[in-house]
Amino acid sequence: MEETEKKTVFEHESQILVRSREILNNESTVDYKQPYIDLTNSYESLLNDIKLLTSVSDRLQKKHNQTNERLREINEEFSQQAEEIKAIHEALQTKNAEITARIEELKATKNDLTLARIRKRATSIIVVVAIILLVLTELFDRFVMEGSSWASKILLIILIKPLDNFIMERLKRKEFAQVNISST
Amino acid sequence: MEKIKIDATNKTPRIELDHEAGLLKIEGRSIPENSFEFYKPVMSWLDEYSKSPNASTLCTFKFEYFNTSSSKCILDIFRKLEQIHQEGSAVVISWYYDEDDEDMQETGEDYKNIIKVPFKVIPNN
Repeated sequence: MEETEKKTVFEHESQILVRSREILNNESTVDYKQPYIDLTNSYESLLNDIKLLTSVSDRLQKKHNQTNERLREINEEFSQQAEEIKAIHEALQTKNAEITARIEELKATKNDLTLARIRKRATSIIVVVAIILLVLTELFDRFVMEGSSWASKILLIILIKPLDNFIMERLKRKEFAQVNISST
Repeated sequence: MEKIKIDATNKTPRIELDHEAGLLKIEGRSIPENSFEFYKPVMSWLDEYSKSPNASTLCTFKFEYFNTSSSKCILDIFRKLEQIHQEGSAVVISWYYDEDDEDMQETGEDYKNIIKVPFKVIPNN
């Protein structure tokens, strides 16, 4: 309690004390018996009040202390739970990074497989085209040029690489366009 | 005498004083900054009420929590009611407490032992 609070809450008791002091200071007072009886009665009443208030106050303090204790326990529980959540969060982040890395690996593997498949198809196409062109140049040399020409064969060999690149690019574009469509 | 109604706050209880009905009701939490100032209207009302009290006065106290200075003010209110009772009017004090609040029950019992007025200590359902 504040000092001012004490003065006001114990206003009645303070008045009794002031009255008693006045009687003591008054030299003309001869008979102290009645004021002494009044003071004793007031003291008895005050003592009873103090006993009661102390008991009530102790109980309230106990209640307050129990509430504080409970709050401390709850706080500790929350801190512990926060630590656990933090650990779970960190584990999830690690797992997430692992999954992301695994996905990247799988994507790279899939790309490699797709490229290998395209290469195989491109090689097949080139072989077929080369055979057709070889037959055509042979026929051209025999019936048009009336003799064998190395020039057409060299041209054919030179053309194979750009043709291979062209077919690879077309097949790649077609394949990845299909992948994009299916992923969307 | 006019009726007095004071709404509860998170620090002070709800107060209802009705001369016609002979009713005094205080309920809630009592931890005011200055208990004497807060309960002053109640004491003034009781001073006035004691001059011409009802044949019977019903007093209900339902506290959730109160501080030490409030407990002194509550005691002063009880003393005033005791005086009214001794002067010939019927006064009944009902002290309510939460069923699981043993401390508030014991506090009621403590007041009951010191105040010479019919005093009921009743659990809240």
